[in-house]
Amino acid sequence: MSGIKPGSKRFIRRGYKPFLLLLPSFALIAVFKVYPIFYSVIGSFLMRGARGVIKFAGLKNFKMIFTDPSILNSIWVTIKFNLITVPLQIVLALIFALMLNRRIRFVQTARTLLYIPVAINMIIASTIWNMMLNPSSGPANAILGVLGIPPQPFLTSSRQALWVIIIICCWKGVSYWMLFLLAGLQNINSSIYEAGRIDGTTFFSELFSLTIPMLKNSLVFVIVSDTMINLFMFIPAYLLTGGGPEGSTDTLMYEAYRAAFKFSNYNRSYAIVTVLMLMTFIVIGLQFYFFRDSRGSGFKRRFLRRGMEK
Amino acid sequence: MITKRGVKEKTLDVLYYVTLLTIVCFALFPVLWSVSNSFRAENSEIFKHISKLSVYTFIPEKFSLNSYRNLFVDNQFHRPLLNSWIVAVLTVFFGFIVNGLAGFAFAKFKFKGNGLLFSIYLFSFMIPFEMIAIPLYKTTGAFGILETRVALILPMIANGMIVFLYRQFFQDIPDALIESAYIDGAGLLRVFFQLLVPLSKPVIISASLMIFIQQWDAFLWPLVAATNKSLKVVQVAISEFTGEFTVQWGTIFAATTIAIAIPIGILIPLQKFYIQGISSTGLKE
Amino acid sequence: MKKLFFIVLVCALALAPAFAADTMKGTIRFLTMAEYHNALEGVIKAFEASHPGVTIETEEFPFAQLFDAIEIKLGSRNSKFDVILTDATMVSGYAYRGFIAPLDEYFTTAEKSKFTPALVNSGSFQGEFYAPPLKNSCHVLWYNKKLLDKAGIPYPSADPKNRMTWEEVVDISKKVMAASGDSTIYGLTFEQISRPYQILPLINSLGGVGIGPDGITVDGYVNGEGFVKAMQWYSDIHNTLKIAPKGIAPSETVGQFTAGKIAFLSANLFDYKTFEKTTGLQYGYAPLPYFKDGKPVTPTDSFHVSVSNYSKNKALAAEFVKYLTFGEGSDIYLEKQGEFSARIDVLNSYSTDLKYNSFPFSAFRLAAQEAKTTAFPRPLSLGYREWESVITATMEDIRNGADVKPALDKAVKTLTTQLSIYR
Repeated sequence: MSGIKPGSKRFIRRGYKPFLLLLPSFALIAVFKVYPIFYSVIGSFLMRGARGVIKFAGLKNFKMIFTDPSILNSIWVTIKFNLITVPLQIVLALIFALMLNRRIRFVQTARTLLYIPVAINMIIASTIWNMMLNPSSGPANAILGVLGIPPQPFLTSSRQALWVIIIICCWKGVSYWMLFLLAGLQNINSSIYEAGRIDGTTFFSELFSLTIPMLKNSLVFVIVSDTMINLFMFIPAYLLTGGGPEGSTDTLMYEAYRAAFKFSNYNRSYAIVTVLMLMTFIVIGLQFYFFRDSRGSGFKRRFLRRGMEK
Repeated sequence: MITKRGVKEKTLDVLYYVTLLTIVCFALFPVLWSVSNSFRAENSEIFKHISKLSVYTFIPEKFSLNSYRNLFVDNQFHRPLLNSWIVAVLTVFFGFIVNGLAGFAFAKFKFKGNGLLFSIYLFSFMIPFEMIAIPLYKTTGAFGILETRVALILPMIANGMIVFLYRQFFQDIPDALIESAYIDGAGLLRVFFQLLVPLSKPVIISASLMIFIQQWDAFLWPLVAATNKSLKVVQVAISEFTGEFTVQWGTIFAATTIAIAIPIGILIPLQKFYIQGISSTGLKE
Repeated sequence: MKKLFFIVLVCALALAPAFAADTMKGTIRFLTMAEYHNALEGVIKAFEASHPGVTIETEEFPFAQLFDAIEIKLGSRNSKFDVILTDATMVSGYAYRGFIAPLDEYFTTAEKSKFTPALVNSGSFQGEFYAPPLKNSCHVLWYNKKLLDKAGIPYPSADPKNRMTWEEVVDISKKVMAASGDSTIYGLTFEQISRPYQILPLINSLGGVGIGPDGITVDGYVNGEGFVKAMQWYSDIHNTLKIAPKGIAPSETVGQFTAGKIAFLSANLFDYKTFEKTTGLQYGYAPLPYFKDGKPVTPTDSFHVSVSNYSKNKALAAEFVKYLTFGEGSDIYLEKQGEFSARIDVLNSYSTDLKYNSFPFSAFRLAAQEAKTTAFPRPLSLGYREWESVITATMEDIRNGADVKPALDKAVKTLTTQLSIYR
């Protein structure tokens, strides 16, 4: 933790007053962001009976969702979706960041243009892509036709629908993560490359032994954040497919949404969200373990400490 | 070190530019296509130029505002636009005060629990909204504020990421300035508003931009918390077009064009600030 | 002393009506469907005119979002709504969950008997009456005269005694499609494609039902013989016989018919209003077909109106409900919307009123007869939402080519788990 370094930027006097400054934000965060998490977990152990009476249910909700084929299917869909989307987005984001990390003409314009999908929200992105991918009238099949490829069913096919959603998420998400990686790249001292070049390194060895390790923090931040966001992805399923065809796009979060807002079975939705939270902890725990520092202070602390001191 | 630009380098260059161009086209095609369709006179024109690609695939044969007329006259789209605007602006305003003060506290005060509390703030910002949407709905229901503008704004004001931004920035402001203001008898609030704020224009712009776009793009929360006609926001209104009105392509395109024109119109001139804001949250110091 | 008491009593009695009348003032918020906007506008204006001091505000959702919206708003125990448009299948679910209030204290037995007994039953739960019907529904087989002419097929009879079979419809469709010379023309589709309301009659016609009598068991029913046979036919017309189009949503089917792309459309009675307005469309109607080995079945039941349990002015809400379901409001609504009534007096008028002699109003007489003889309501179940959600997805999957028996078995497995909470 931080000691008081010489010339530290800290007020010494009036230790108590900052709590007033913090009160509004703390109250709002506690009530509207942290409390709901506990409410969820507790609610997953309750059930509603006739006339809306609440009773304790132990593990009944969990037993029910784990014997429900549509939930088991959605667990698989969620995992599949993440296993494909996260690496795809990160690799693409890295490639784009590397490509845009140059001082050439139009790079600023290119960056600006690539930021545009970031400011467009998921509903609009899904709506536009939905119309582009309309099997009979959309431009996607028209363009494929020009290339000699037969028209594809896209969202009406149980084999392709999930891929369509993956494409939409990539289209929208890659630029966002590229921002972080680009910032990370620009923080790397270029003198390191000079030293490497004198020794005669190739492009790829430079990439893997210098660039990526130097980007480690940004990369981990991006991977972890992206994983969390994608585990909870459900808007394309909500808007475009209703979980189909044949449950191929039915993500866990969409099941949670339906349980709450279609069937008014809030306790079932809390159980599903609790399961999702557990999955998130496990996956992120694994990621931290995998990316831990081989020496010294341990990654988790570095990740948190990143925000805490200068 | 001087390298000769041989054939290999030149082909790599060409490859690079072509790839870059393809990427940019892929990123922008949906947007351009949708914008151009919004200015077409008739829906059938959209499909006419689909199977036989031509320049008309992107440029309307005859520039027309029919879809926009339909959007505003028949569908009263000005209301969701106004609603989104009001909610976003109010959240920006309150967000600036609430998060700014918190950032000030974390940056300039030593107190027990500074680290722990700040971790909680950061943790809260990493929570995907979907995780808490449903219980949040229940708890705000208990407060009785559902179906009001308050419900759309209040839960979104405090934001760990924004607090982080302000904290980073304020840490760079020399203590000496603050000390001397204090010696002159200024209270904490005066220090904040009269000293820090004028010096913090960049971070205020970044933070406000981020909050604005977050609220403008918000969908799940307004969907469940406030759907009556007088409060409905842009994204919810657009989601209702799909399915029910899939035959009214032109209207949908007009709606999406306007809905993205506003955040993009704000983002492009101020992109430097927005990007600085986002990327500084991912950087290790 | 006695005199004083007497005076006070008289004053109280004189003033009592004023107090009672006070509850007949205020604002009523009506959660309803956007598609009914025009019809309800007239009803609301008339009610407000005859009840000074009362304002009715509506909050409208398109059909596709209405049910979700009701779940969300009533699920949050929101007291902002007083009157709710309630589907017949949801009455028991809402009552079970405590969303809506019993209306026995506001409806006399005489008033309840104004409606057909079947619909009063749908509007009740565990012996209490919750929701009177706003209207009834019935489907007929609409056909495109021009397409039949081109294939040289005589128009089907409108007499139930000469009811066609679905097998005959398939044959005729093949001939019509061949004669049309247009590959975008299809023989048959259903207005609310892949929705149980529309497709269950096919299943019922072959003796199958959607849910067991306990309202919870699906095993043996959803994968039972009648259900499987009917769904196989449903799959065939889309995938092997190809007389029905795929990829068209429920909101687009009527448009396809008015555009002349469909020869036979199984659709609601009130669609005649749209057809009358479509220039150049020559159409006719026939009774809904049945399966050769089965019995004639027509869809029925529709929307009811209920009072929210969280309403702060239930008496006024109930007053409006009565106005809308059997009072003057009902007349206005039925007229404006072209709907088929649930009221016994109106049903009787279809056979006597001269207006219904001629086409297309003669269809109402057919509907009245069907309501008495072939109507088969949807299953009543506490878990109707879950049931409908899974069955709709399954039906659409089958329409798109999924194997019938495995799809139905999977649906049974899913529903058995999901409905177990209602045991």
